[in-house]
Amino acid sequence: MSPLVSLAIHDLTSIRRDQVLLNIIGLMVMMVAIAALVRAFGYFTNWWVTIQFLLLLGYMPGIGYLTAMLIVDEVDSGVDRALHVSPLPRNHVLALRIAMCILFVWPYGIIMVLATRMIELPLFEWLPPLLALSLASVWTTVTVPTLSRDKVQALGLFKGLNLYVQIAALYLFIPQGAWYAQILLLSPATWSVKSILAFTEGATTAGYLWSFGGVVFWAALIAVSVAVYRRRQDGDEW
Amino acid sequence: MTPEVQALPSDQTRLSGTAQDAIIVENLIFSYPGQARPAVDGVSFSVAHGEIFGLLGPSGAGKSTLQKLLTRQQRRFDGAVQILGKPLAAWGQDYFEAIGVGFELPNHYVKFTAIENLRFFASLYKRESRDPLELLALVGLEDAAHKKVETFSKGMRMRLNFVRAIQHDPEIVFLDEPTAGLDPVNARIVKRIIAELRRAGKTIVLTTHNMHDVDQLCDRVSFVVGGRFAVLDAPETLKAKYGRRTVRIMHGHDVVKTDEFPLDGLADDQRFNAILRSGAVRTLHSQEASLDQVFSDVTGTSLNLMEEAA
Ligand SMILES: Nc1ncnc2c1ncn2[C@@H]1O[C@H](COP(=O)(O)OP(=O)(O)OP(=O)(O)O)[C@@H](O)[C@H]1O
Ligand SMILES: [Mg+2]
Repeated sequence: MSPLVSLAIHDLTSIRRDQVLLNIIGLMVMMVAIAALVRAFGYFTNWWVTIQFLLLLGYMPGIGYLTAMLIVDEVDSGVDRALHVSPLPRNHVLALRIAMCILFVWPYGIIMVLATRMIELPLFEWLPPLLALSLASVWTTVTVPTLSRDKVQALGLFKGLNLYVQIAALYLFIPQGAWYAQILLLSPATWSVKSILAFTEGATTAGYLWSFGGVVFWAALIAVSVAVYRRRQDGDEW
Repeated sequence: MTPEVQALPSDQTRLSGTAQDAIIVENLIFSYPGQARPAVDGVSFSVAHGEIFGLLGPSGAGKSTLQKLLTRQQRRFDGAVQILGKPLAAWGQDYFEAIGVGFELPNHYVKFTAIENLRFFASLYKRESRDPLELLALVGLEDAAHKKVETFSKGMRMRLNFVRAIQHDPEIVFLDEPTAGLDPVNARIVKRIIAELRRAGKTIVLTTHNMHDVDQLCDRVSFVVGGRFAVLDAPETLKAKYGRRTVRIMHGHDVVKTDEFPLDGLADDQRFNAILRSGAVRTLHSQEASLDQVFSDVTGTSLNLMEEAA
């Protein structure tokens, strides 16, 4: 078995054995189920768009914390150092965790919007803004272990970084065209919101452009975090 | 041999590397960021293939830092390091196939069993690993093989650390206090395995606070103080060179007096014989030359204090 596959299996087993992480997954599934029920029974029709956005901004990235917690756990127990003196390159380890994070979050987001259908868009229009939004989780996955040394710090930091994503929801509540709405574009999550809104209004090109911009924005933030993460790990090139 | 190696100066401690040397270190200097004093401050030595090389020194001397540099956990340093005939920086990931690292503190996936931990790490290597159950049995962990590491005592975790370091059968093994936290029986087992590794031709760099470990295992030992090597030689040579072999005698009918005489030529010592004949000997102890005493003579630091601090 290739070392990376072995690590992937190992990571999945770690998640399966961690009660906290299992609870997170349970919560995630429940959120989708409740929203799907609300939709099916036709309650709160006026709030559907808002609910959908709140779910996407508030809960979808959460599933990516599984990978962040894996890394924090390793640093906490010092076993990351044992991993670093194995033949498995460190950047492969990080790349695997980033890939796993996207593989958790993106499909979760897709399942969420398809199951709840509170905003109706064709699947191919959902894919770009949800991909951009799943990079928010990648950003947390890299940033949390970079800035925190134990689980307590990590949980605090999760909340802080979350705000940076969730603040995009404000965009729905402030008057269209207000100058201060532009401030919210400082969070790339807002770019996904703009993208989805554009798609719902039939502005397809704008929808794709906002998503593309969001991906680039997140990628830049992730690149900074990766650089700091690598420096912090041993003050060094890999 | 590269020109870099030929440029190494030599001195009485066999600094200059030869083809037999597994490790050649020349003027290694390293400071942690934001620290004024280097943790490793101009260290030079070489370790021959199949040698057990000891690093002995008080807490904070820089032993673990030196191990971190040699095991590439810290890659930025000044000086030249050559391992198995290749500059350290020229090695790729395959370096980790060739070395094994035993950490100072236990570090495992605690939600996994002992054997799962070993199997996982074994799966990261190209080379064939030793049978994990057999290894666990070697260090008395066979009954705990299928228990999660979170239920292990510190000593059990340290033994798991130790077998993880050697399971892929590396050429060079770096062990940072492998007997720390172990009871005498398990410490003896670990030492026996280390001796076996040497017999199998492995090169071992061993950090320890324990004089007896050094005496029993190390071919050569360096005394590390303040990031530098105070001395470097075979334990016997150090004892012969610096050690005092004496006899301490307490005597006197009314007032107790203590005298110390050199062990060599004792039979011809007039005063010693006079004391013996006076019939007032209370106690008579030979003072063996010990590394302990050599260490405190050479470095001005007591090893007993050191062990307590550890
Ligand atoms: N991560 C670090 N950051 C900054 N300074 C450090 C770090 N690790 C060690 N040091 C400092 O470097 C020096 C050497 O530490 P090191 O851990 O190498 O000592 P040691 O000889 O292994 O001690 P011990 O016997 O207690 O294990 C000490 O002064 C220590 O404070
Ligand atoms: Mg140490």
